[in-house]
Amino acid sequence: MSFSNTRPPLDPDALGEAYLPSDRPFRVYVHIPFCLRRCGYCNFNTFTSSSLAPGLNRESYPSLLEKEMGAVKRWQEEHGVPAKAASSVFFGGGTPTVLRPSQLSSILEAVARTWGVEGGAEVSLEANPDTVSPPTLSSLKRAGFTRISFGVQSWEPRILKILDRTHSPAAAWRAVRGARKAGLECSADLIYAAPSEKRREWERSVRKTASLGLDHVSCYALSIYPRTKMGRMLAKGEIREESDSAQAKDYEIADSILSRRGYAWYEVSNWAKPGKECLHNLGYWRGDDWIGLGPGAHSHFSNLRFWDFSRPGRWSGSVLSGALPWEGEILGEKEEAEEAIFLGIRLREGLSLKKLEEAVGKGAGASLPPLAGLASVRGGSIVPTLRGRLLNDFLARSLMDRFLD
Amino acid sequence: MADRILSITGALSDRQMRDQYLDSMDIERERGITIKSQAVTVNWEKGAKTYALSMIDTPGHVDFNYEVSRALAACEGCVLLVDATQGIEAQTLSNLYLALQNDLAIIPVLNKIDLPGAKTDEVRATLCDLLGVGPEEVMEVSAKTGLGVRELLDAIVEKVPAPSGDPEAPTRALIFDSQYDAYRGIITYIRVVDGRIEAKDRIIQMKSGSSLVPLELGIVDPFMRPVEQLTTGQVGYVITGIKDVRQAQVGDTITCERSLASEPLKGYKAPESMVYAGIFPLETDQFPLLRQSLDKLRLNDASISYTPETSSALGFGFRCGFLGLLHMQIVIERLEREFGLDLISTAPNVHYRVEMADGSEVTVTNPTQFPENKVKAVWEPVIEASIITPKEFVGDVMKLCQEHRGKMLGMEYLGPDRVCLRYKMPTGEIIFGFFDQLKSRTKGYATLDYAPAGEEKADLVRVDILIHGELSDALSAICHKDKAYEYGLKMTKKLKKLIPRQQFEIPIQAAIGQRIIARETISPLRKDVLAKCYGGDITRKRKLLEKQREGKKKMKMIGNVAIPQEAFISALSLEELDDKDIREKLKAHAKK
Ligand SMILES: Nc1nc2c(ncn2[C@@H]2O[C@H](COP(=O)(O)OP(=O)(O)OP(=O)(O)O)[C@@H](O)[C@H]2O)c(=O)[nH]1
Ligand code: SF4
Ligand SMILES: [Mg+2]
Repeated sequence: MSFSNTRPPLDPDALGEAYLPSDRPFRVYVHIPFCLRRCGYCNFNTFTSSSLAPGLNRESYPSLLEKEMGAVKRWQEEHGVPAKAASSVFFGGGTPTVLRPSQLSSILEAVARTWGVEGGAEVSLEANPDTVSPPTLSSLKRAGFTRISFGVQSWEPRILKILDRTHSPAAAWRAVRGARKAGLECSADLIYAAPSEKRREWERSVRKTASLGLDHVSCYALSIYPRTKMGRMLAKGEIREESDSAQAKDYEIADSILSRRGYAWYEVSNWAKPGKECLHNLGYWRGDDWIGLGPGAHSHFSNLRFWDFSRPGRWSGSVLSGALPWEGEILGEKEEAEEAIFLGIRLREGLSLKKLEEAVGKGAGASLPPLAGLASVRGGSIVPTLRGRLLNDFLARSLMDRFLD
Repeated sequence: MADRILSITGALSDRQMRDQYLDSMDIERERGITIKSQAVTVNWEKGAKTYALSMIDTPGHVDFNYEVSRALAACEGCVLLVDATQGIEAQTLSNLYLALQNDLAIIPVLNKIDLPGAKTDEVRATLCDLLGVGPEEVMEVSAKTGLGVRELLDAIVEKVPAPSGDPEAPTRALIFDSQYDAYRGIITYIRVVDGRIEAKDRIIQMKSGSSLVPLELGIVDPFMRPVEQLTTGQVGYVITGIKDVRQAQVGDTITCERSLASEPLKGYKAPESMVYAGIFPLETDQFPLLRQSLDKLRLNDASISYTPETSSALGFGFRCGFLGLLHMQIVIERLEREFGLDLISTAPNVHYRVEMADGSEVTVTNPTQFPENKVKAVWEPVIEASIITPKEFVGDVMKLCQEHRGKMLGMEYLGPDRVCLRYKMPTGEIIFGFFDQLKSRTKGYATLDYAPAGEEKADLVRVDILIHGELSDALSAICHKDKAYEYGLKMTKKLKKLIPRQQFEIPIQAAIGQRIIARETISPLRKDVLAKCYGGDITRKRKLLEKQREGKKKMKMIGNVAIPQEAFISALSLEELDDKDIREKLKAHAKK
């Protein structure tokens, strides 16, 4: 078998050598690997302790990031990888707001010093409702953040408990109101198909979210991973996973409520008021370039994908020694084509036939597999239907089966 | 026992010895049973003389009776070994009858007398009754400690007559076994009946007509040892260098140019297959390898038969005939291990003779050949079974036999608490799972042996399985009318569990002709998408999709339903599905 995952990862120099120039927007992702408490379902690269390794703690973290930025910049220069100004910046986690606004602000300044940030660029951060207050929110706004995305997950106390979240619905409400007052664009994440969640409960959560006048909503089906608290409960039979048809039903409910309230889907799990789509995230699906900073963060430059070491000690050791803390892979034509297909088909703008033909060869548009009920061709793009969003991976595989061996 | 004889006679030193020495196949050692007979020659001194004793270690399981019958046809005498802790078993009886038919000297021996549970007196009495011999003629040994083994060897020299062949007559040697060796080609094992074979002789196989000078002539002691000649009565091997496996027919007679015989030896009756199943390679390009492998294996196991067959679900393969279910499992396992094949087999069935309304006749070895209309009568093979059980289980055994359409032929006591029940039963009823049920209902005490006993008329139908409206030929089965619903119900349920949900609803139906008798539905998959696909998820997701696509390529398509091979393997396994719903439905069906 010739799976690419059997290939060993490559070091930064080998990656730099293989870089194929390509003109794409450039974005910056900053990972903040701290949380106050781990949620029951969380499998992210995040830690509740404030000190993660010698020299790596909440206080020193911004300076380590700045060091990493310097190393990346040098790598770009050495290998002819153009260093452009960032079209967007995104602070994710973890819980970025575990750091003080001044720390977040200094990281953002370091990004600006290293690459520059385009005027009017979208600068987002993720936050937990119980880690923000009106003053923090206004300082973030002043520091240059334009958009905040809250992990609300549910408005039902029972469900928040099942998900093992720390915040209350009231805290979430205060956070949202505070953010809007501070002049930040505001988004909420919701989780559906929590074990035992009733349809009514989910519907209420979506309605409540839609009634707050937010700019943007993301809805994710709960995935329970084995090595999480909920994963262990699942293994012991203490909780049950919701069936795929229950999940599908929840998704349809969300889509119907949100679209009636003026939110249009633009990616499988994302809905926004017109013009309020998250440009940074769109970049992932459109194949833009971006640098990811911090333990476990992923990056993409043209035909390269690489990722920072996830283990904090390994990451900081490498950064402190002045090395680049990553390894990665070179995408061949087949991998690039696969990605173009499965990423493009997640979007409402769709997989453009032009892009498909660039990826798999001329004539592809004329020999599409049967898309019955899953997608339609509109304005030169293959666009998934509601059913095609729910069966999106199947749809992607069908397209790959047709055009790739 | 064979191990002990090898070490006591000095054929093997302690260093060379290991358990189950003659069971040279891995499967035999893993399962702890003998599958293949093995011939070996040992020397034993008695008085002032050294005797060459050739022995064949034979299997005990009923499926391998054919091995035993071939071995007995090549011998002058036999040691009838009875486990003193178990007593007479069903196969003890059948092997005893075989020995009697062949006019062999029989030496009855009680083994395992070292164990505290040995019921020596009781088993000895039963043996004396059976054989009509005095108690002093029954020997007692422990193959574990070696107790009594020397006496046994002496008794063999005394009681087993020397080979009766004529050293001066034209050369005739019986091929009783053969084997394919990747380096040396075919190795044939022979017993010289008349005359002798010299290493330089040009030998002729009388039936196949092939003629050549052997590369090597030898004996097995238990190592292969070249010799200059094999004389009357000797057992040994011939290596001809031939690689064409059709050239070495077990049962053929070897003669030589120097001393040409005109009449071949009697040879063997070809064994009758009792069980048939389709065997298919998982990778379609392994079909030629499967054919070659079967050709080679047949040399070593003359009881396999095979003809090519095609299945819409499983592709190209062979319909193979076996002596029984264990035999089938062993053959498949040997094919996989010894030839590196990955195989899938259909559910086994017996063969049927169908009389058509127009007077013609069809032999059915594959359910798909079973005619749907204009059938006048169907005949199924039957066997006569002997079951030996402690008497407290007689009632349970009788009930079990009735459930399997058995007709009692007789019942006799073997000693005070053991009973031998004789039944006539459809072969198809006994071959699948019966033995396990028998064991579980008698706490493991009952033993079973059976022999073909012709055929009988029966009320049989073919049950087809339709997946999304498409016939899956590999899953069709021929059942008794009263069991058809049960088969349909269980198979559709099994498949419902095994077939992954797809983007559309999949009905699974069991049908007799046009009539649907059972149905299950696999609901469509409503959601097949990972909710999150951000920067850090892309590489993982690409690999996941690649893996899913690889997986699908390996699936079998029935119409547009992709079915993983494991699902077929499990569906075709004989494992019985049993749940409350099934029990309730069967009860309701029985009332109707
Ligand atoms: N205690 C004791 N155990 C024995 C004796 N003879 C054999 N066994 C054990 O019984 C088991 C079966 O022995 P085998 O010689 O393989 O039996 P078999 O009759 O050849 O079996 P098949 O080849 O399947 O017919 C093994 O575990 C032996 O160690 C004995 O005299 N005493
Ligand atoms: S807030 Fe998010 S990153 Fe932190 S523990 Fe909870 S789920 Fe994980
Ligand atoms: Mg044995």
